[in-house]
Amino acid sequence: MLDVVTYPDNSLLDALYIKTILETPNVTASAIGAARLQRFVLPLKANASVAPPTDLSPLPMEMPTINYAQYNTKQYQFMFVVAVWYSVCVVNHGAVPRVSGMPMAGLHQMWSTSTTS
Amino acid sequence: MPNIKHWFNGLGYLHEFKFDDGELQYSASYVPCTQYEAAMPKSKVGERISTEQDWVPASGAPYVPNTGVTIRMVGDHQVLVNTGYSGSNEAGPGATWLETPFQYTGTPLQPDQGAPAPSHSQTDPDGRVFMFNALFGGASGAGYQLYTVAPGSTEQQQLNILGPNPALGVPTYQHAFSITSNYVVLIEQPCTYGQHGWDTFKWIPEIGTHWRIVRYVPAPCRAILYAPAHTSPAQPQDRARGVHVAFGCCFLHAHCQRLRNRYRRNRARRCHLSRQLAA
Repeated sequence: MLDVVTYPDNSLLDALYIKTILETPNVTASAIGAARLQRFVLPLKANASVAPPTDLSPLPMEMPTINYAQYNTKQYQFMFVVAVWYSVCVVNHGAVPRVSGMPMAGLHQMWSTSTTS
Repeated sequence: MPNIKHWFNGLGYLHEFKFDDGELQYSASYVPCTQYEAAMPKSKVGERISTEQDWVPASGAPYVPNTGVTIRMVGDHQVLVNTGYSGSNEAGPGATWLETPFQYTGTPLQPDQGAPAPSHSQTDPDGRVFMFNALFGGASGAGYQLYTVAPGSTEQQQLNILGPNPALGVPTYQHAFSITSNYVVLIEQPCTYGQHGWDTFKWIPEIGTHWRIVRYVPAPCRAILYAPAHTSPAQPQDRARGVHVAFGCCFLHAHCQRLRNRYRRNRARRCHLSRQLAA
């Protein structure tokens, strides 16, 4: 079982060229907003197909991490991610939700910084 | 300035924020790896760079990106910094570097010069660093070299050599991977790239995403098989769900606790037999 931030295509890689970031930041912001935190269950048989993932949250999220020192390679309950979403004027507003882990996942708690305008 | 075109390229820069009795102290410095030395004048190694003219490459050496930096604590006040080219260094308080940079060595198969390790490293509970290199052909072949580095060592212990993407015959882009107590999971995204960064990047959605699952036996680390799994090629409905480009790779469950227990029993039995033979 693997929790992964996914994107629908390679738009983000194109949007992270320095020229794009500097000249069209809306393009970069929009691409980052396509991030989804998803859970995959991988088969351990060679050449098997992977079932479609399940979404762990409807919010765009990036930079997932766990309590690495204590839970690395072990089952964990909480994951820490940065949720980002953008308005048309590229106002970004960061938050750090805790996503409840095994066996059922979902948004557990969220802390938000103040929104800028 | 170095010819940095993409967010994923550049020189590593370590930031330290120290919170003490309501005060915040900030320190930062470039990661003094071999790529930094190639890009900077020798006299500037380890110093802060603040002006554009500081970026003049030393001796006309070509600029090589060294991102893919991963930081892990290796003590109460020390961090181990790994860069995308198997380089490493340790830093203490104040983002001060404790020794000269080094690169991991020791395996019979080394990547061709300039081949990046396109992922963040991982560390298991015993402190072993897990990393891999992309192999772009030549003497090393094409594929991936998965290896570990024991705590306090700079020598690579090869875990496995994986073949290239079966649909393309070359390594594809990977950003992050994951480890459990028994498995390493690599995610081959449907994107090709070259040894020298992003100019050769190519998106090939029709080949889908490949997952490489490498089983290994903990301590001493030894790979015993790998099982590639495959996400279906891009279909419109799959694209809508987003299954093809994966960056933040967080965790894989420990499926094989039984195998680990068996290994521990066998290890205990071997130790017991060794003691009997010694006696």
